[in-house]
Amino acid sequence: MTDPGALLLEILSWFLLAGGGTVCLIGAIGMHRMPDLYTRMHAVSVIDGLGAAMLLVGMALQAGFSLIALKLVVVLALLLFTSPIAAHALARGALHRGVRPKQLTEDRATRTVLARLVDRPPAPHADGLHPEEAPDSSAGEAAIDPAPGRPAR
Amino acid sequence: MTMFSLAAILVLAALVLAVLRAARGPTIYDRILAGNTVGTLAVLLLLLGGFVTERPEFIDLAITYQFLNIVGTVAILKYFRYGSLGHGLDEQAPALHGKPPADRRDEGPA
Repeated sequence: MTDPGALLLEILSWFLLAGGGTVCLIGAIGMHRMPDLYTRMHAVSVIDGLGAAMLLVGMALQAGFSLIALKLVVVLALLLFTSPIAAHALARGALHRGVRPKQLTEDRATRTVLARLVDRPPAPHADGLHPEEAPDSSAGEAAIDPAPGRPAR
Repeated sequence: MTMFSLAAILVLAALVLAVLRAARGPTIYDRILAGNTVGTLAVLLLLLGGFVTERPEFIDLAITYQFLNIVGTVAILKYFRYGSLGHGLDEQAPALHGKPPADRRDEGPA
């Protein structure tokens, strides 16, 4: 390891691998310490973004210019494309099914936003999957998306 | 090789925590979130394991697992679009903006 370039690569990949593992662990600890779903998603996005990217780049530095590095880049690209889609769908679905954020300061602005996004009261059940039927609040409904009726059969 | 082992141990600890969250998550959305995280961490662990044992075939396994994760993401999208996984694609989807799932709207006013 007398070549300074190789030494630099070694140090850099050490830093990336150890740092990536630590970031993954921090994100997983955040999954347990955060109070509700949305803040947990915030903690998990650290794993999907920074932790995986650091680990994969660190491994690619160790692999050098080879097919292995190309495959690592492919994995990273797939990960960076799909994890925001999944996170978006999850947060949107949870919000529409009535899972409210905890510790929400209920001022006028958040009430307006929630009336646009969630036109129903918060779910009485814990899992929010079968919320009570509620009349739509008239505020944001017409402005956003007038729901198409089901086709008559 | 020790740096791969160190990273693999850290990722394994994160994986255990994610599985615990999936086991005790209060809502189903927490479980889905933890499942996604388990998939991501499993891909990383497969790659690191391949580097630890110096067997590059593990990378192909990791790519395969990543594609399975993509299928899981599509399943999540379908679940939140249709309210269940047993819905046919040719049926009319319920509107996304706050409408209840389709089977609960049948008796309601048209």
